[in-house]
Amino acid sequence: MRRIADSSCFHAFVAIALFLILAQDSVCAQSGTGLWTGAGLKKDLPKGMNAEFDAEWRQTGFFKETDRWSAGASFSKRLYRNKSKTFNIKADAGYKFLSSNRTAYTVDKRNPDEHEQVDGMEPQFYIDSCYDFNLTKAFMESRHRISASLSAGLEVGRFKISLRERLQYTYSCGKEDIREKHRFVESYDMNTGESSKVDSITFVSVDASQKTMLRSRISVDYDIPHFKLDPFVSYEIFSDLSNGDAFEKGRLTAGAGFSLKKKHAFQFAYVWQNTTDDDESVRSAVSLSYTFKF
Amino acid sequence: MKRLYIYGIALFVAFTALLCVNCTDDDAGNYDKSSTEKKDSTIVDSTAIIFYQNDGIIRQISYSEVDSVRSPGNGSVRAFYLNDKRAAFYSINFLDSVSFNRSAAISVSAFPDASDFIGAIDSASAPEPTNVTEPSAPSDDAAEDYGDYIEKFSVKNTIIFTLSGNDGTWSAAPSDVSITKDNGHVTVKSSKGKMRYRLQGTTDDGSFKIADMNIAETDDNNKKFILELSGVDITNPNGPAINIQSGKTVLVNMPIGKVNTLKDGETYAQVDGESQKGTFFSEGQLVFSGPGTLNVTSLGGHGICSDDYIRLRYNVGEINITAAKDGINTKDYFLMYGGTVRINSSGDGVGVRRGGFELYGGSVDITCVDDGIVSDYIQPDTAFVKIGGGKLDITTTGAKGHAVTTTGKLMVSKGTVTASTQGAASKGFNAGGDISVTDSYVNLSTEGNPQYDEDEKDWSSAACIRAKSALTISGSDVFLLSSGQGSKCINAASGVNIGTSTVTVAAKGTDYDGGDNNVRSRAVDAVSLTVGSGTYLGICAAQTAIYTESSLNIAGGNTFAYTLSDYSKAVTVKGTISQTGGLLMSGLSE
Repeated sequence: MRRIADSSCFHAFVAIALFLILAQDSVCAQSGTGLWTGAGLKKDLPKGMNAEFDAEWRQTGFFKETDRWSAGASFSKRLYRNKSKTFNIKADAGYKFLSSNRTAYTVDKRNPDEHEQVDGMEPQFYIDSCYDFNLTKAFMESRHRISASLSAGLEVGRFKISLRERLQYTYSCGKEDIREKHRFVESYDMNTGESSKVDSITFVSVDASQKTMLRSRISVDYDIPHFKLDPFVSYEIFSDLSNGDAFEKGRLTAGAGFSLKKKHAFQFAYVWQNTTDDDESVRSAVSLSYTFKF
Repeated sequence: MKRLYIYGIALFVAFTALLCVNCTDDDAGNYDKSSTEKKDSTIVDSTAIIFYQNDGIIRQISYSEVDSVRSPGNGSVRAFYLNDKRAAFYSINFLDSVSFNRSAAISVSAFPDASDFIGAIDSASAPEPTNVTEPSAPSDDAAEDYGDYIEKFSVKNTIIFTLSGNDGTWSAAPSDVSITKDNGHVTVKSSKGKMRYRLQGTTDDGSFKIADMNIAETDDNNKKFILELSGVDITNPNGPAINIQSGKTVLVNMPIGKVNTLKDGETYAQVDGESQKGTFFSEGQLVFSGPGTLNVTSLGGHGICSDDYIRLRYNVGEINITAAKDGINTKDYFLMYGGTVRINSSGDGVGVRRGGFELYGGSVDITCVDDGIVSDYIQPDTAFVKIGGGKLDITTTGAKGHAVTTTGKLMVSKGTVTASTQGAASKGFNAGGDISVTDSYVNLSTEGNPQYDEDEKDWSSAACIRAKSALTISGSDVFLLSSGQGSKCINAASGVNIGTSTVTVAAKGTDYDGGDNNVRSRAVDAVSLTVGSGTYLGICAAQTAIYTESSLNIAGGNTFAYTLSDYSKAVTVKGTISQTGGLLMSGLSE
């Protein structure tokens, strides 16, 4: 009977996942919904310790373009648990390598003093006028991320409430000569005495950068009786400590997970963020993950 | 029969005695023509004397013309006297042998006659000129002439002016540029930089003017602009066709295939506080570029005039000027690296009022009444003429209309100059400072007679070269022809030094009867004359070939100085003649 229940949950998980994929695929191009997939290995260690290795592949759209991929390891230690096991405090630290897709983009570098408008007209009357711009070509940027977290969990009835504070430092390596600076300069032909605009291109690097974030998350899980599929919802606030603790974005996640024979843990969720940034290029995503525990 | 024997013996004795007497006169410096040289000379026959020189040159003189062979006191020179009027001086060191031949079995060249020099001048033709490469644009935008390089000028706005009849239209203009018109007369007021004004169309009563905006000197860059002549034809009956009052660099560009015509009127409508000196007038620098054509006619002023400097880049096409005054008139300097400039003017060809004239490439062809090229600022250190390349061809017609004249130095290096002056007292080259001709071709001719100068209270004669300071000629081909009475080919108030050059000189004019004073005709009239090795100096003169106040120094080369007059001396040296090498042959040339 239990095998049947587990199997049905698994099938339900697959069905929901396929539904989400198929349902979102048609609109993701317009809505900017991505697909985040992940897999991990988790090892329970004595004295409330855990070691975890995970890999993740994030896409913009569904199986269309890689947003980033990453691989990392973390270690956690339970610091406190009450006797009734309804409250615990845990700390963890980890390292993750990320390879993030930087899409090409253009920045208009026109000097308003030199390309002004007259009587509301575009400057088509400026003979040979061209527009200066910077073109940063697409590239995969390597990044290194270390993080440390402190979380507290409290079980109230069938609800499990957890709070987590994570300090996250990311070093982005940049890329040499990936940015083209297009500057149109007057070129005078000595043989003809005629002039034309010539695109003068110089190549510059995207500089390395670093960022320190404070991520605060609250999560609520609900254990449905006699049902392996446990829904959850969480909200996470990203604050940029590199920029004076400025609020950067909020992330709402809703989904469900279940375990199979306590070794296989599946989770699916829908993620929505109020904005995009250089870390995530989509505002919403379907998240699917699998963890093998041993 | 006995008598015949006696006469024969007497003649033999007398001849032998005469030979002995002549031999004893050796130390006194006289050789009979039948005497042999101290070296390996051999008397073969009596029709020619052949000079074998160790430089490989072999020449001959008809034996019958030789009076005697003499040795001056220092014993280093042999002098061959011909009819007491012609002499060839040879350094002993330069003679291998002297042969007296009946018939030269080998090919030898006779000494040149006066006609050879005149023929050489008549047939002289200018070689292809050498154009010196214009320096590339400086990389440092703070360099003084950086703004002259149109290829470094970044245009941000172009306004196209189309002139038609007595009307004008233009494309939209950015702010800081205001444009007004009065029929076909267009005026631009701009404080904006990086502008290009492109002119096209035709007007028979119009003009194009850039007004002075009195922009602070710190905003000089905003005064500079490109004026592109893109097939424009402007006639202004009452003033300049183009009038630039902005006071800074105007980069005048003439694109390929574009023919532009500018013409003014005989009288200019005066504007308070504004100079208007020519058909194309600019208060600032005018820098011409582009392979197009510009035709300028001025009925009331100069053709092209700048109150700063004028520069022609190496890619300039053609500029043709007809002017009532100067063809080109500029203040600070004139600098030319290329193009073809043709000037026909009633004033000067190119007048530089406070600076120098420099030509490095291209050609300048001038026909004018006054001076062809003039740089005559009162401070001679500022004024100069330098022809460092290119080609100059000048004809002047007026009295004292010099081809090239400067109060400073006159330098010709790798230049090609042909000049003809027709007026009285006109000079080909006239310089207050030193004159140097190096690695160049120079062909100068004068036709004028002397003119009495009331200021100087003296006669001024025509001259191919009038050097008030030193004259140096090296590595050059120089042809000088003066045909007026009392004229000179070289008239130098200081020393003349000629080396490694071919200089052919002909003074055809006779002395000029100036009443109380005769004005002498002399081919070369200098304080001193030095001829160096590698020089071929051929002079013929209606009267005196060489006249020096101080000295004549023959250090090498071949110098032939002939007079065509029985009554003149070919060479007159008030001081000393010294010879350390080479040949000096002088005398009467029939």
